[in-house]
Amino acid sequence: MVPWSSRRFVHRLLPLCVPSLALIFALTAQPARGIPAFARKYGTSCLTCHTIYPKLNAFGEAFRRNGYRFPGVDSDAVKHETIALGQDAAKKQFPNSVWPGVLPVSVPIALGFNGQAVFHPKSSAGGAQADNGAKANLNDLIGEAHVWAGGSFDDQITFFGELTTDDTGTSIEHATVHFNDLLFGKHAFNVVVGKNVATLSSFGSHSSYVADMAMFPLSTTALYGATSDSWNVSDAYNGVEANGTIAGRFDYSLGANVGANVDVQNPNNVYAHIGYKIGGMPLDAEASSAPPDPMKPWAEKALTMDAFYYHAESHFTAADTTDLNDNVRTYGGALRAQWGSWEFNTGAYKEQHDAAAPGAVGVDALAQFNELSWVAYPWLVPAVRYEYIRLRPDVGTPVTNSRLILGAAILARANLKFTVTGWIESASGAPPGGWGPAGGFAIPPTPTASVGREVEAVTVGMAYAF
Amino acid sequence: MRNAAVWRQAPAIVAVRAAVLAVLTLLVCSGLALAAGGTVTGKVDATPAKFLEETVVYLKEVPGTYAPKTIGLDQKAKTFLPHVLAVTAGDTVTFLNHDTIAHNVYSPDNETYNLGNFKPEEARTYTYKTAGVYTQLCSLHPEMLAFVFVGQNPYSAVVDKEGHFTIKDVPAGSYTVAVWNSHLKTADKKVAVVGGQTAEVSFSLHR
Repeated sequence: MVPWSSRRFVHRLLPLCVPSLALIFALTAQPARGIPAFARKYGTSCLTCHTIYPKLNAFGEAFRRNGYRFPGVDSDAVKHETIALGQDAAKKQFPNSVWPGVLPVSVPIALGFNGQAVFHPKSSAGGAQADNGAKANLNDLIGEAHVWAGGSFDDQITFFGELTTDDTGTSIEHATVHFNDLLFGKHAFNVVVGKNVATLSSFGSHSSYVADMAMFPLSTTALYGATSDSWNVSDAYNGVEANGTIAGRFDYSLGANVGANVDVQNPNNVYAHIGYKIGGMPLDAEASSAPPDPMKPWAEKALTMDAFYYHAESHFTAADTTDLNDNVRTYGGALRAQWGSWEFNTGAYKEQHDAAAPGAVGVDALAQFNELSWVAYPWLVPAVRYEYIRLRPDVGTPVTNSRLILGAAILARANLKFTVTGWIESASGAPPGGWGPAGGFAIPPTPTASVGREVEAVTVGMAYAF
Repeated sequence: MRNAAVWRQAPAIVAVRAAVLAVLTLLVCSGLALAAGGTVTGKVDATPAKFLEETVVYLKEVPGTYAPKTIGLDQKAKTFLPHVLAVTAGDTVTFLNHDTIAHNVYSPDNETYNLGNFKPEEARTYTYKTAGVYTQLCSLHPEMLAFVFVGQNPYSAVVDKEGHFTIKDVPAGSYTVAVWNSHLKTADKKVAVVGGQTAEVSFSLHR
């Protein structure tokens, strides 16, 4: 650990925290995985798949899991007009004809904007310091724009993509082609090609009402000051993934991707996930399954368990400008318990880094998350979330961070939402890169000092999509 | 006098003659009605409804020989018109090109045929020998699609937009009514046709 003076420590942390504000509070109005392009395609409401977007209900999760397809024969549910790029009968002519497909009459894209107003009740808190001591920050009231694309080439091959633009530029968040039902019957074996978040859970990565990701990323090398992109479990990388659902209860994924590297490296990242659901709607929503209460399509009694392993190799530039090779072994699990309108998500994962810090120091990182939510009304979901981080370097002092997020997501219309969240955080020490890369604000006066519970911010987020 | 006698007898004779005539007329009309056959009508529902227009209701295996006909199937604005055509084995379909661009007509089904490319205002014909459904494609414009339903007999009807159908002039007897749809299916039904009467039968199509 670098023996910084407290003044120097705070001085170095502040710039790191400033970009983290936009990063962290983007969570109050997250991007979605179900999009208005799908609503147009199927002529259906957002509420068919979402509670308060991007959170998906059981049917929406099945739609996502099925490669963005309705149960049964997908095209049966399609209502928008399509141009046939060939007719089914032309399959009999193959290979002397192009395999038939369809093209939607209108471009299958959707737009979305989101941002947040940030208020700091306590000007001395880390969150307020990151905003230059301002009581209120409206700079990011609209902070991001999204262009989504989603549709199908035919009943088996689908696509999904998302471009996000903000002050830092435009990036491809996701861009995938899904080759579905390739082997062993419906939903059993699918292949996803493109840039995507590794499937490490049975549920969509944005399965939270008050945070961005259900399983929040650690970006451990960034926590130790890396100046290049930091690998984490929730980032999207180019790769190939096989996944599937078996008998509507068991799901799995197996994938490989390039991960984060400062230069060209072999794609040595591999991961695998298994999940099992007891009760509730089957994972694929087949067999005409329906929620028990038609007035509460989100409500079911179910228990879903997940476990995963992720091996990553990163070649990154550390804080001391040396390039390091970091091998990471990550394993974790999650559990979702649903009882009617109540839902409890909990999970943890542990990253074992060989060389995450300058000097090729290894780090053992732990992330734990819990979220309890209640669909009070179809348009109002209060939720409480607790996140915990522990970093244990091979050399130096372990540090921890915990935060409590209290809030609610509110739908003004099915595609216009607001979120209100309060962030309470405490920390015992901080890594050299500050807590920002892991979504924290607390700035201890010294690397080993503690910060008691402090209200970092109250945010009011707004997001709309069309 | 003679006239007066005739006139005296006339009412009775006229009445008898009229009665005979009426009976004969009735018998002739009934016979004609029986000869003209009955009607089978009804309605088809489809889930999903978007496939409803690609539906033909037909009678299976009606014995007889049927005089061949020639029917047109047009191409306008890169669209086959009609979208579904019902004919009988032995019938000839004249494919017309009323577009300003060339078209090809082929089918990969049953007998399989390819009429080649033909220019605007050109017509080509094909005589169907085998009953079945022939998907009608154009290799130059892969989006074009039509179906030629070739029945064993002429007792078939393409449903209208609401799913209604009418099969006329069906000889009296008991038949199996079946439905062909491009994507959906349903079970056959039995129907008894009485000359001069209408029998109703309805279907629900599903995956």
